[in-house]
Amino acid sequence: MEEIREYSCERREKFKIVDIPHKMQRMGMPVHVGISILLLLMVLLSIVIAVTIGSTYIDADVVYEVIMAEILHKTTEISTAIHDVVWHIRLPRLVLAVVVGGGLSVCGIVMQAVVQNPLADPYILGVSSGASFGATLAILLGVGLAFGSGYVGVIAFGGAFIASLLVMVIANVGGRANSVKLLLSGTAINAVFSAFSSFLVFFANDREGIKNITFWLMGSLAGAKWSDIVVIYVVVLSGVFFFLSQYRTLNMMLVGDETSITLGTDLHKYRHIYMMVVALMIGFIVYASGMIGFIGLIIPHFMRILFGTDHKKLILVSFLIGGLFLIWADVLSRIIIPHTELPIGILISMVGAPCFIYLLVRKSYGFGGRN
Amino acid sequence: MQITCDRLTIELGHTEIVRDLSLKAAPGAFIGVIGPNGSGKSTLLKCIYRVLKAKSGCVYLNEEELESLTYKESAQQLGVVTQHNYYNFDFKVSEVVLMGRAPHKKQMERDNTEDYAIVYDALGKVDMYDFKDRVFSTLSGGEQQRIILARALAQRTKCLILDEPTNHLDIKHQLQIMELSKKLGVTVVAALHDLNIAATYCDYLYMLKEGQVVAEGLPRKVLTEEIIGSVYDIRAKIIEDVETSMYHIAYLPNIG
Repeated sequence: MEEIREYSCERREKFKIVDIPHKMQRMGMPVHVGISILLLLMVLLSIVIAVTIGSTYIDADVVYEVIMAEILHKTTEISTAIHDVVWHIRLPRLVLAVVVGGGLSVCGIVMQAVVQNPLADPYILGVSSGASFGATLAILLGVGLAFGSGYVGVIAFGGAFIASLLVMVIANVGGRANSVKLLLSGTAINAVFSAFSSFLVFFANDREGIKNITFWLMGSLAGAKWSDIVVIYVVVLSGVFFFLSQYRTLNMMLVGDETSITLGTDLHKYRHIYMMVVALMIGFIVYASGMIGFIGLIIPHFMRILFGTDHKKLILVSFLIGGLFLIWADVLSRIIIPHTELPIGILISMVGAPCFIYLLVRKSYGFGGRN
Repeated sequence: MQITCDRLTIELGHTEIVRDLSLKAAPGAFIGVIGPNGSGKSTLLKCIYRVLKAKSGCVYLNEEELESLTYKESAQQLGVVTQHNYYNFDFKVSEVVLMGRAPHKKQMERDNTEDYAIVYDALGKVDMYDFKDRVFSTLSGGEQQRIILARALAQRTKCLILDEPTNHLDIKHQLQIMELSKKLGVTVVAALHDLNIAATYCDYLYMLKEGQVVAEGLPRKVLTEEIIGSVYDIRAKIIEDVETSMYHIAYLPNIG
């Protein structure tokens, strides 16, 4: 052992000059932290710019006056209508976009690690079909009307959460769950819940209701309310900070169960904890914004192309980029067709998918495969 | 650190792969486990590194029962190099090796300069320092194997478990890995295919067949023409080089 120590000391001296991660650590700021700070500023700036953009033209000065008045609790002479548009429609929507986009991205990364598969997204383990079944129940049969105006979201949340629990339970039947069993039971649960949804839709004979379900499933940030936003921020940010602390175990998940045991971590317990946390985060996101697809799949891959696979670097930048992405996607969805709000899910797929393909083709990103 | 296997029986899907097997690795000894395909070498090692559970019998690290340790505690004492290391995601080489530091870290603890120094030191030892920023999956099989050894070295353990560590390696690196593992002075238990490598580097050999030890002892006692012939069902000839006093096993063809 002595010999090893000596050797390592001598090496350390030698690598001082060439070793960049070292250097940056001594400077106290790794690259990804610097980028995160920059991104945070960009998120704030984007909100400030985006809040002036909308279907009704409102002068930027007026917009800022409304916001400053609200923040500083001052009174202004601006009309209530304009005040409401800025403070109760535009701003909460943008603030919600950040947490939804960021939360979906982080959950996407975590899910890809949990099931050890680059094709996973936050909805893969039963969440999507559970949520849509919940929404279908609420819209067609009026289940949960007692929860007030947000009842569709509440029931969808319940559906999503129950479906993820079921996936976990089924994956553990007859031996410990592993990533393949999780994926398979996720697929099975998705099939069952989708079938129930289709069954309801088929017998409902309710055109308006079916249209509502379709709209709801496309996702939208239009329903943003300050009271909900506070709760969602608490839940999603707690989840993000939790996963920030878990980077080592997340990395370990990608190398598999056997190797992880030889490196001192039994993944079984962590998989379940992570799935529960993701289910909770996604449940709240679904409650607030329906099912916004694709973002939880592409942002994680975008980030892996740019920053590599190490979760220490990935989690925070993905949250911020996801938020940034959704802010501008939402702005675009409001202005791209005059007087119409395009469902944001459609826009993300239409714009995001080609960008994604471009990156795949241009950069030799192997998804772990050999290039 | 001493590794002791006491009368292990290991089942895989109701088939007994290892039967009533006992093995002892004295502190600092280099133990070779040899035997034909399917003789239970890997299964035995998997049980020692805790991926499989024995049906009966017990593994001890020094005096401690392995199963009484947490995975973290055992990973602080056992470094493992397995055969199949295919990862579905693109990790950088240095990130793979850094994982070797995980058993020494608390959940929230960050990696510090010491960890990076250990990682670069381990990479230097396997001759792969210049590859530290490469993507693991773009390396050749042999290079990957050396990175995995570097990860085990970064664990700084008193024992190494090697499951056919020389697979996929060119001759130079076969010898290098064996010499490196031997020089560390830690207890090594290695499953080996190449009998010449086993003869050259091991202090003690266990010859397995159908899950049982059929011969054990010093390499020259185990690797005889008779034992090799009966276990592997081939004809072998032992050649001892006078000049280097090296021990060589030649396999004789059945034709001609």
